[in-house]
Amino acid sequence: MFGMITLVFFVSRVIPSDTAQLYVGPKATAEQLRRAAEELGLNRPLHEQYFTYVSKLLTGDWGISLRAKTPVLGDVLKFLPATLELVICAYVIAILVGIPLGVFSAVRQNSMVDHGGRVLAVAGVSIPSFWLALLLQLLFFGTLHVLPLVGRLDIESSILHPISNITGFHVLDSLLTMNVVAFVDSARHLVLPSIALSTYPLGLITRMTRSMMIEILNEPYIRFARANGMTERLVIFKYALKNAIIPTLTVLGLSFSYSITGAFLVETIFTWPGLGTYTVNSILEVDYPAIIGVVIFGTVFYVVINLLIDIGQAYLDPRVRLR
Amino acid sequence: MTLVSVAEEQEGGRTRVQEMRLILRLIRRDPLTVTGVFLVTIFILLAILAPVFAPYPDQGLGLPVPERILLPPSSVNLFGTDYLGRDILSRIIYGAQISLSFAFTVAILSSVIGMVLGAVAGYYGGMVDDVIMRVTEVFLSFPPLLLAIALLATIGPGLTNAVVALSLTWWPWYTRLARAQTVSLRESHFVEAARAIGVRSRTIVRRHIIPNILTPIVVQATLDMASAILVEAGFGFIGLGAQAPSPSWGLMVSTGRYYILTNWWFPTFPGLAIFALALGFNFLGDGFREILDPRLRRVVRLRT
Amino acid sequence: MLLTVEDLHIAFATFEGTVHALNGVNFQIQRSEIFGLAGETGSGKTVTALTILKLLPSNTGMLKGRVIFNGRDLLAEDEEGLKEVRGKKISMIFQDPAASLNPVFSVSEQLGDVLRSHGTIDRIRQEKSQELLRAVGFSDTEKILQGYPHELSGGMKQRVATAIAIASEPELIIADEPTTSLDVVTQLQILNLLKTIRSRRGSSVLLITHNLGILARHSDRVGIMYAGNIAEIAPTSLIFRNPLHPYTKALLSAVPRERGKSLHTIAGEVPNLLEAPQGCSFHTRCERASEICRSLKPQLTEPERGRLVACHLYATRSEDYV
Repeated sequence: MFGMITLVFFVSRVIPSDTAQLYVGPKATAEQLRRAAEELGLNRPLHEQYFTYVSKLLTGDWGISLRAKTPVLGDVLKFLPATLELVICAYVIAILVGIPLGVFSAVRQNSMVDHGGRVLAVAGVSIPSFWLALLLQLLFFGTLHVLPLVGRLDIESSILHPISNITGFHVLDSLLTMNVVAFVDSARHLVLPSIALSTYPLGLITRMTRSMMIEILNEPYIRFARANGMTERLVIFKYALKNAIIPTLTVLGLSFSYSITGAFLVETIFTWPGLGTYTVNSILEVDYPAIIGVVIFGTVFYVVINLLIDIGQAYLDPRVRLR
Repeated sequence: MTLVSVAEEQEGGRTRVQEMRLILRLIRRDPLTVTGVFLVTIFILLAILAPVFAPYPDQGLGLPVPERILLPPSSVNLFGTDYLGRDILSRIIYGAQISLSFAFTVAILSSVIGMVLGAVAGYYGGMVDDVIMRVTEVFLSFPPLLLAIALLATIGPGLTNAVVALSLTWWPWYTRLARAQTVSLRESHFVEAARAIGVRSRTIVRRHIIPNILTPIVVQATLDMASAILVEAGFGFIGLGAQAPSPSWGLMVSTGRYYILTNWWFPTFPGLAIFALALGFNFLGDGFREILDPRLRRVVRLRT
Repeated sequence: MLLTVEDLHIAFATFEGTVHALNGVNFQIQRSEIFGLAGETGSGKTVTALTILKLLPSNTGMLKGRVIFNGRDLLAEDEEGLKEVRGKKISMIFQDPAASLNPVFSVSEQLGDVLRSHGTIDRIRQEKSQELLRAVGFSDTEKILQGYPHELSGGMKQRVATAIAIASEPELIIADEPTTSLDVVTQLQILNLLKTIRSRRGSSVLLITHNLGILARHSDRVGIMYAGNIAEIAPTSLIFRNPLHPYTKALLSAVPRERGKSLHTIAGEVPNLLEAPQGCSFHTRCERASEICRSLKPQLTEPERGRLVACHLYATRSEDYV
């Protein structure tokens, strides 16, 4: 982790670009520039800067966004729930569809379901999410008029039935406050983006579940169980599945940890006010503190999820626990 | 008092040529892999012979045609025209050059760098291993796409920069893969034998280790090409990849996205191309994996 | 007669071609007997075992013959019918105990699930599990039940596997090389266990192994397999003292007896099962082979009471060739 922070620091200080200049804007006078440089501590020796930087990080001071002039950490946390809601929804879809499909595919190899499943899996990981998003918009909004085009909420309903901000998850919040109109509205807005975002993990899960199940079903202990009379249902859904799920979930968790920042493509198309959009905007406007803030956050999140995956593995797989 | 049986003659009984033929036969058996080969080949041909296949080559390269803006698909423009009147089909064909060159370069760069580093780390062990793996781990602790984008943001947009950024992001995965394979190979008999004869380490790595760890690397590289296609499209979409008037597919979808409801063909066809090529590479990579995997052990034996 | 295997032919489709694993296997197992099946690797012992419970992989091709158990042909049964048999009437133990137990579930779960599949109700499952573990020689049953497979030694795992196999008091236990991967002491433990199960519960055991010594000491009758055929079947006492089939004779003479004497080996190689055999499968290596051995496959005949041999040397009557 520290290596990462060091690297980031190096990059931000070593790559030639005038941080102070950016801070005060292009029309600054020389005097203002000098003062900004001093304020930002750019004149101090490098190791001192590093020290200040890290200590600030740990205390939550992630710097001020060059663009919005607001604290970076605050911004990141503000945009986070929107993305989380979207990503979680997408992954739920992926799991609910992917695992049964993978299992079915493995059990009935070379059947129509299997071929369909395999094609779906590969297609899932090959479809550009933004393209699918556009097509979905075309179909469900443009042609069928059943679902909204962009955003998390309709403007009207958010004014007439405002959602209280408890968790930041609109669907959850509206449910908790029994705000039916808002609930339906936020749910409707979630549909298309989550579908677009779910195709990649769906493909991953289906493929992994299928191949793991096939492998596991050929394992001797499955044969042993069958030979000694275990019911087919128990064999497949308990014995084989648990073994197959473990590596699948690991891959899934990894993918989840990337997707927090990787969702930006879909977010842009649906104008979803999430972390992804924030990231892209920061990059396009070269807002260094913000970019770095996002990178750090993304990495922290990634590390945390990895940790959770390890814990989950230990829980599911007794062999891991010994270590 | 046990019965001793005569050794089975199954392993090692095939020559290299027979092995190759077997692999080809297997490839032909699987319709998905065949489709993959087909798709990839078509795009490669289109890319190489773009001026021949594209109906309007200069439009493909960016020449605007003001009087034919946003026309729907017709016999004149099979895929319609974009917001500058350019023939979308031609643009897509020229775009294949970008996508393919990007994918190949990134895949080759990252896999070669990663593989060599991994093999060296795995074979020599000790401090070399430590240093290499430490650096690798630092890179691995970043979510890959984020790293790539951050790098791009720092060094500026553009196709070449994108290649560099992505290769810098992906090489650690190959290093890890190569190292793991190398470590297990290090203990195998033929390596021991080579060492005993006195073959230099460098030569061992080059002649024995690398050919035998190639297979999983190749599989990974093929699948990565599919991902590279998607990433390039993503970069193009946010404007960090190839710049206008370059016929980058991602860029086309991006500029076209506002027209989805009114002129659907504009973003749809480039996106379809992205899908098709990524699909092709994925089919190919999956097929390779299935074919080469259980036979991996036999192929390894063969190459010594 | 408990089990009758009649004229079993099995072939597999592989990349290299069709492997003819079994080419007409015939034998019978009586009640309460330990029947040993011996043969080299590749002779078809495991395939035979798997065929009885119809556990063959999907690339199985030509299937001919019958397996008659309690009056029904198991090979003609569908999954429903087999459910009645597997585990409850006929069960199986495999060679590698580590591969018999699912690594992510505890012993009590696996034992319990098998019991549940056999219809044992929840309430007595715990009790039954402990009883079974005691029957295979565990004293601290609680600890074993809570444990996971990777925490147990090879011998312990095999005993747990045996406990699972005897869960519903099957009439026949198929033990495919149950002791090959265990140390000598544990081997004896398992084999004695099987003997005990035979005497106490009246089950029969099909003991498959390549180790003649084990068969000599633990089986009642022995069948010798070679290249997918049964060469000879006889009571243990007789077969080792007076082998009839040239193959059996060669095997026994290959056993090292006296120090200093060179090892006697059997000339030639095991036939390639990719080709359907012509004539007697052993004729290429047999010292006593003659013209007829090359062209006509010998059937099992009964030169003495209770002894069966498939060799032209012992064909007594021409009616044997039907």
